[in-house]
Amino acid sequence: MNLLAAVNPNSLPAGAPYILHYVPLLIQFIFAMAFAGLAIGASWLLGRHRNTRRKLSPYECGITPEGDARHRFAVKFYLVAIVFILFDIEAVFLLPWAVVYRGLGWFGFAEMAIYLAIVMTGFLYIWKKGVFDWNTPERAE
Amino acid sequence: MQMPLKIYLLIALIKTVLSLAVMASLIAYVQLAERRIVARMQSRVGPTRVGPWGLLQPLADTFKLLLKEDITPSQTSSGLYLLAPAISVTLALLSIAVIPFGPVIHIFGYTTPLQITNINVGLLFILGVTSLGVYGIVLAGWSSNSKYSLLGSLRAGSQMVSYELALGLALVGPVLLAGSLDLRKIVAAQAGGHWFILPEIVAFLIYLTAAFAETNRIPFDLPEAEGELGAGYHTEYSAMKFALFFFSEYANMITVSCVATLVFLGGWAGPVFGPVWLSRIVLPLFWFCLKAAFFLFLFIWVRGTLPRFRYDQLMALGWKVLVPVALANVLITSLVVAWR
Repeated sequence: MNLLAAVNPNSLPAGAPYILHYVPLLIQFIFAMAFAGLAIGASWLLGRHRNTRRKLSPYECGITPEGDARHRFAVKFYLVAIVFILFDIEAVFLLPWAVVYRGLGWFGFAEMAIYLAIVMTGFLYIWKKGVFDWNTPERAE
Repeated sequence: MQMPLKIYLLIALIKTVLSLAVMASLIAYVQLAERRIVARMQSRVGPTRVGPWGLLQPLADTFKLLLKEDITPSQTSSGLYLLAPAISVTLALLSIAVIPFGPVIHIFGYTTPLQITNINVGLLFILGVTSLGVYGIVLAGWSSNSKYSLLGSLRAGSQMVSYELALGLALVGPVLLAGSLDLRKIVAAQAGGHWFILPEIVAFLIYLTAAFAETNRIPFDLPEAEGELGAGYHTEYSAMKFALFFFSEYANMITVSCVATLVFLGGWAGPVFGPVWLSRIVLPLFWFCLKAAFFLFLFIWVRGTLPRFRYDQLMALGWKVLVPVALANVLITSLVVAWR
């Protein structure tokens, strides 16, 4: 493999703006959406429609549905979502750090070790608080 | 030779159409392979009637699903209900665009990679698009306005975000070794047989576990646990809308298999010989497909082998085991890289 191909495998003109690399992604996106639209549209057109009120009611194991699904649900799902956002941001910091790590050397290692120590303190705190325990009843607080 | 913009766009268009056609037929046949292999594992034969060895079964299934009645239950939020399968399948097909299948080739005097487009943050793009995939599933469950769908989508949502964290953290190790998010450079860093599966075996195992959870496959298929939830988030979906969820699940399986091949198994590396067309195009593609097919077989094999987890076990495994171990792996890898 020659070096030029490794640097710029799409072989665009040298001065071309980098955003051109994303144009095929846009094309793929449009095609994928068209595929989804065509599939849904085709089955809507080809399938027959013979509806009754019973048939259009939501599935509930064969019994008459009891109300709708707009109920409250366990708060643990919210907790997981919040904890995910916190730790996903941490993962987002790790990726660019990993890319430039060789240039940073021990300095980069020390910085990330301190950062991870702070993050892990929070992680241990929510662990002790029982956010990850799904089989214990929630504590009244 | 430098490429004019028109030719560049034309090649992109051709590659897009080709890759969509290949993906669609691949998904159909992975499904058939799964049915046949799981059947063998359970001492059955599986579908054999349509065409020789049942090879036309996917075609028959497609037509059957196209002709089925398309039901929109009366309680649904109809706009979102329609949009959810479209979101799922669009995102599933989008992430395949940055996956390189083989080396850069020279054809008709032009140079082009065996990939729809090569961007320098390919791995990050895949992670981003995969994490958007949770929207399709959560919207499907919520807009169906059915209890089983809602419970299934809640489970799917928190399962996918939990394991996505482990997935992202597991990939930091190989990125540290390669020093790039460009999938081609990650493959190039493994040249000469230095596959990242050996130094990063812990990251590989975490990635594999998280990949099963991300694609909602057994043993992590709680979102569609048929014993308790009907069919989970797609309970209320029928005809092609149901098929699109199926389609996107298999497309996601193919994507995570390809990423595992690229990041841990050296991509298209393997013994090559013979003339240029054989050693630069056919054999690399063969090795890539072989490695990806191994992962796809693993998905099927595990489905035929393991029972389903309980939800508290799933959450405990994700947060109490995979995330801390993945972080420890990042620290140890960075220590070793700094040492050298």
